[in-house]
Amino acid sequence: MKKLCLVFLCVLLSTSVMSVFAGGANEKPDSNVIELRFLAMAQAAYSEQNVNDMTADFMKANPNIKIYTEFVPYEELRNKTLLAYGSNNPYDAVLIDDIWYAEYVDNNMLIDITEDIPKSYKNGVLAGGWNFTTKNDKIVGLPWFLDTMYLFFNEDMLKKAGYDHQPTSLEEMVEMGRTIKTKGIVEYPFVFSLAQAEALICVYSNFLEAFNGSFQDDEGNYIIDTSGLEALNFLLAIKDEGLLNPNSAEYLEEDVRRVFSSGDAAFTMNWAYMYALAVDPAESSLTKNSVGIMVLPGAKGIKASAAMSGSMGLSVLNKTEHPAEALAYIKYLSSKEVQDTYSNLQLPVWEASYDDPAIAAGREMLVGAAKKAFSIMNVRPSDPNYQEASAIFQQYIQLALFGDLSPEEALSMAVNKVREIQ
Amino acid sequence: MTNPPVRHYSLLIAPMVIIMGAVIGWPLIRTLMLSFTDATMMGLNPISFVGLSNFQKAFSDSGFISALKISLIFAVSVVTIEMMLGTTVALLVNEPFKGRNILRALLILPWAIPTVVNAIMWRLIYNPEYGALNSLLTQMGLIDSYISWLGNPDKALVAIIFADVWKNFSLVALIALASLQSLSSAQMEAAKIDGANAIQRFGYITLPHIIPSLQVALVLRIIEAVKVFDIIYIMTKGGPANKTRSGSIFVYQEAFTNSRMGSGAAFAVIMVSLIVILILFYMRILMKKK
Amino acid sequence: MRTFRFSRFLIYSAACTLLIYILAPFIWLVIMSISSSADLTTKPLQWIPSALDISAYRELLTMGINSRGELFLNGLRNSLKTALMAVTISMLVTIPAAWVFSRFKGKKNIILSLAIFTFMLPPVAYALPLYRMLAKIGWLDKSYAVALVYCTIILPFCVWLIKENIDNIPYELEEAAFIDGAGIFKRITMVVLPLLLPALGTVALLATIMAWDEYFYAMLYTNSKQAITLPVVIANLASGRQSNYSLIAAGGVLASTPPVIIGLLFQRSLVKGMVMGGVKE
Repeated sequence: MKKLCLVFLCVLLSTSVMSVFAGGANEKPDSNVIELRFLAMAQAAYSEQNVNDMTADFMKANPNIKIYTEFVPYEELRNKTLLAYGSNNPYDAVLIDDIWYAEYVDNNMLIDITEDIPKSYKNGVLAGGWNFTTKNDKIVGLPWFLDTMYLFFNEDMLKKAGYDHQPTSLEEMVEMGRTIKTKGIVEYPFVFSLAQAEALICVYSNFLEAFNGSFQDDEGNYIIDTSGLEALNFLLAIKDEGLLNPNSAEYLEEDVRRVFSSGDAAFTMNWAYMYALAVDPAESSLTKNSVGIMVLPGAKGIKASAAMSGSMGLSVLNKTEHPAEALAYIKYLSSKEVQDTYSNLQLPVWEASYDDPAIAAGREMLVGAAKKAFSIMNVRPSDPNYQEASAIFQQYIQLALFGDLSPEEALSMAVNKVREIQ
Repeated sequence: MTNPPVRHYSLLIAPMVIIMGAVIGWPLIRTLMLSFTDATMMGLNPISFVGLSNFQKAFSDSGFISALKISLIFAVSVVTIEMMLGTTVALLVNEPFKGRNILRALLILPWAIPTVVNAIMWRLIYNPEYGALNSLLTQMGLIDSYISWLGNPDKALVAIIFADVWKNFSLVALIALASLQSLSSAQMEAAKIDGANAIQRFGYITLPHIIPSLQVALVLRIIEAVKVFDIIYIMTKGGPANKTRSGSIFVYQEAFTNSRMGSGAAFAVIMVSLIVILILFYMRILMKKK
Repeated sequence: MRTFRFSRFLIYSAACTLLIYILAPFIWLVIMSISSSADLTTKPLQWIPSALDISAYRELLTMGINSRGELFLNGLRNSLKTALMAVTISMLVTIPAAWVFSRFKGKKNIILSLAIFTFMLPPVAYALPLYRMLAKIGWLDKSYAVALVYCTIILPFCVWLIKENIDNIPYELEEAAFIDGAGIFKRITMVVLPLLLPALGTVALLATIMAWDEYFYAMLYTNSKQAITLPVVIANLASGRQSNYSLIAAGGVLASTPPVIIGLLFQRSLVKGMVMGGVKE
């Protein structure tokens, strides 16, 4: 035993000494090379591999720029951006969710790039993209991808239940779900990502939009306690009727993808990335023809379709020492050529791409839905305190879903709490 | 014996003091200072002194109080279960039976598995649709329909507690077992001859012998359990409806997510004080008994 | 005789239950890691995989440019590097400090008590100012910085345990060397150190496992593949990005292998380390 410990200790010491030296040896700073740090997100689309490949291509074309990419999960993206910025160790370029732009601009963190965007660039990108990257008439970011939670449906199940068309309203969607359940095709027709996370707000806000509700009034006061009631009641109704998968309260996007892809749900909502995976035989038990995707229908008599933005943009932080290079980099990442190349899981932000048969090939349904969604897409509140407000809404909406509070109580308590922090 | 002046030796402990002071000491003092200010994570506005208002706010914050409660419930539950289960297991593998050595060797497995892996493993097992637990319980006929373990406000904390128990009961068991092995058999035999039955032998000989070791395990586990962050952060992030949000997670959210360093620091200071009071109180009871 | 048999039966059934309780979760993790994702998303569950599928391991252990394997292998290397650095630094710092604490009782032991007291502090209480400090000196996302932070987890208990061990080394041995004219350095390295080796080995093993396990600091202070550690890589794998169960499970199995092997091989000395010190008090 003693000998073993001794041997282990020796190995330990020598390896660590070696690793220290190895670590020190391979860093040779070159003064001619501009170094940039880019913070992005570990996600399905664009994946780390995609982003790193894009970056490698950019560095090949610009040998004087070296870019260090870092990837964190969505939950930590904002924290890490703010933490690094507040500690004077900022990134040069970062990925920003549309809901964070208000806060970043309020903190005066982003470089105004209005002058650097040529008219051709501006006109080439879908208008929805500029909505969230433009604050106070200044462009502070480049749209990188536009997305929304689409309604995915299982066409086979609809057919089995006797429907040969897509739902045209929320009410019809519920009716279809009811039939699917009574015919025993699937136990829970609906599954949504309603875990205590931003995903819950994304789902909820789409229904809010479908009922023409709104988080805030024109002055920015939260009015969700009255205007958001119908959407919450809707979710509660399908839950109480047994149409909504009861596990929804612990599900995130990847969980609902698995449930839907395994044929255990007829309807779900998810981002565009899920489409390619739901029709991929390695990831899904569904066939290509059975996966339907559309924009969420509106409530009957209120509107035809509803979409809430879940888009993200790229921006240059104003503490960078190399704004021009950082801008060149994010421009490259969001350029049409790059986006067309990597459009497998994420659709381009360029209007012209949607007329490109090569982009739409094999997924006309997704591209069609995307086109429609981007023309009507609304955004979640633009509020510097959004993150905290959202956490409060998540908590109270869940309390209502669990039946601990009535929907009225839950929403009015949430709004009161949000007012306290403002 | 002549020793050189003591200050000479201070150099030898300097590296330790420097590391501990730089990594924990100074930042902790900064936290204390911040707790009286309205500092934000961004540090854009000049920081101003706000006196005790952060502390006042903390004691009226229902979220903070319930987070502390959750930490306490978590700590008391996991430690109680782990101590009882660990001691029982140690007594069991101290009995002679075939395969005992294999079982003893395997006891270290749960403890050796990293906390993050343990959390993820149990998250997979608890998965309501494709998790092993629901499938097993249904096939054994114990439940009729699948249960949402981590999505149910009443069950999520319990589910996390059991995940933590699985990993850490083995620490208690190993410590208790080591202590049992040092129990002299002569003493046992003497007691047997004196006519003491099994329960008496346990109560008068075994238990007093292992209690000092168990107390060590208890202190270690209580401290770790009231600080709990990792396992909850990975399994539920504090959800559903904040029903598993522990004190550490609350402080993390206040300081990092809500960017309020000042009040986050005040929450942290309160939490640290409570932990210290709890431990000192416990130590005092321990000392008194001796 | 009857009661004897009955108690035998009880012991064996309890032992079986314990065996299942200890092994089942981890075995299930291993099974998940070698199942295809189709097998893992059926209801009721496919307990035994229909076919052996090691693609998850292949993906994690293949070093492609910008691939998941690259990230995982980098995490593995960083975890190893960080743990070893932390343990080495801790050992070097521990020996002289523990020697002083053991040989010169009195006021100095307040320092030791303070160090042990830090174990009670939740890291979240000082993580933010520490982040600022590391940022100021450019030490974020560096393995050596994380290693130094890990030293503060390891040091208190290392110093305590080693001190207890030095207490057991008769001072006369040292005195003999002192009379021969040996300085402090020689006294420690020539007289004390050889006797400490087994204890140091034990403590080093425990410390390695502690450093390997750490998540919170690593999550805050590392981001990129040059410093990110395995627990963070695995936690990220399980959150957000597109991944399947077998990949997550395979990552978990791989990350558990080193500590489990250490644990199974060195159980006796590890347990001795855990019990050492505390009980004597």
